[in-house]
Amino acid sequence: MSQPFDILRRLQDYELLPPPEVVAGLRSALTLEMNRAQESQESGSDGINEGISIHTGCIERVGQLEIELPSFIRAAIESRLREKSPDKGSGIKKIFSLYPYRSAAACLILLIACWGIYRAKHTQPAATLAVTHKVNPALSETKPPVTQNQNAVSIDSAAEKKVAGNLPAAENTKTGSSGAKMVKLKQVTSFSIAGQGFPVVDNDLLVTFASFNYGEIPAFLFGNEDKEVKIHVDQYTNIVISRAMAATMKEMYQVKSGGKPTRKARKTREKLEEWKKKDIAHFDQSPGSNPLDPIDLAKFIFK
Amino acid sequence: MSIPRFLFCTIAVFVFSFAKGQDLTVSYAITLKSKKSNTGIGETYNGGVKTVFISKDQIRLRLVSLMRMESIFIQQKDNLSKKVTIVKESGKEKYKYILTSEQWKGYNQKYEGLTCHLSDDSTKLLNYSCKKAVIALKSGETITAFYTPSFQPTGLLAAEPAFSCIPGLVLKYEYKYKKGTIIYTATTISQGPIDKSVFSVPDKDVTEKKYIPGKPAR
Repeated sequence: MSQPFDILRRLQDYELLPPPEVVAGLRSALTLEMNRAQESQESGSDGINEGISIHTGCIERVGQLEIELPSFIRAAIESRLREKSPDKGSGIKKIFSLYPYRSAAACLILLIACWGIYRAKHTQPAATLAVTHKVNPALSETKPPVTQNQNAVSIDSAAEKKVAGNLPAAENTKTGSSGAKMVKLKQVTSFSIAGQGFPVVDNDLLVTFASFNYGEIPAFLFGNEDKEVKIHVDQYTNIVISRAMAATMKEMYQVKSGGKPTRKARKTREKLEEWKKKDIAHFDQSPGSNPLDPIDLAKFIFK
Repeated sequence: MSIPRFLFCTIAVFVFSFAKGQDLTVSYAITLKSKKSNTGIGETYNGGVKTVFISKDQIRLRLVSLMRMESIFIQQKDNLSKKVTIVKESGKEKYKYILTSEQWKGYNQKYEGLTCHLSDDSTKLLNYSCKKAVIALKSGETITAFYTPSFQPTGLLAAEPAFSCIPGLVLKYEYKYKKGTIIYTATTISQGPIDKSVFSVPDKDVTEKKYIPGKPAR
């Protein structure tokens, strides 16, 4: 019963004067009702309830009367409502707050995808090694036990000088990380041919090939057929001995029936020594010429 | 830190590490072409390998052949200055030269003023589509190159001034001189990380020589 009166009190805060014609009409209606109520009271009928219901009906009709609120009032109401309901953020924050589990799952999937791409990119060396096989087929990738040689031996017609063997094995230089293969280089101390390992003499591959002990000569130097020989030095270096060079090397190890080197073998060794001196004179003694430069190298070779 | 924020940060770190400059290693096989089946001393370089290592501001060129093993280390300090060390790694007497930027420029004087003629001719190398370019030097000499625009190794310009006008990575190049041609053909390309030790200039048993342009080494 007291509720309609509470509403009235609250409505008082937002009091607006109704239009004059409404006021006049309302007054006349109320006066009429009041008179009727008085008459019924005097006549002793149950006029109070009737009056109250009539009064309530007037109030309801007032409630149905709509007046557009001024804009400042609307803004005040909306700001008050916004204060009461806190802002839950916009965009991503809103999504995270509304769908926490789905958002976490999406982030996880994205993370896994990025990691997969990263792994694919950084395991490229395995694929490029396959390309290497395409260009240089039949290159053995096995790493035999390798030995180091600290003795200095130079190209000499006296091929009896022996290469020291049975030295401690060197460590495998290849890094074995489960992820991307790290490019690492070590000083070249050994190489392998068809799986057979050889120590490098004097840090010089040419000297090495001229210094084999007659009991340790690589198999390719015995073959009748002159063909290219592939040498595996390290992860990124697989050099090729051309047919002409392989033939030259074979000549170095020709021996007579008595086991002594032939004249041709001695001449070939002398030729290699001359080449060595010529190379040193051109590139080491006059530093203006760069063996890593294609023009300088070509001019030296084809002069 | 809330879970979404943590995930976001982790993804950002991954993407950043993925997007940063990658190391590059390219190996070239050296072959000689000549009317003669035997080029004599050339056969000690025929079949050799030249490898280029690039990592941020450090570059190394390495030549491994029967005749010699030699490297050029370049450390780019900034756009103008660099430190170049040439190291002969083979033989009984190993040595090194240290060159300044100016000396390195003089070392590669023949490449100054070069021009590039890019053509539409193309070929495929290591599954990369490569276009042809003819590099013309002031002296009239030419180098024919095939490059792929898939890589833009800006760091390589310091080490290979011959390719300063090439808009990509050269995978094959050749130079013809008199009756022979020297050809460099890429056999492997890798973008895997390169260990810092690759760019460490060897010190042990290496004699430092003073570089004087045009004069014999001391």
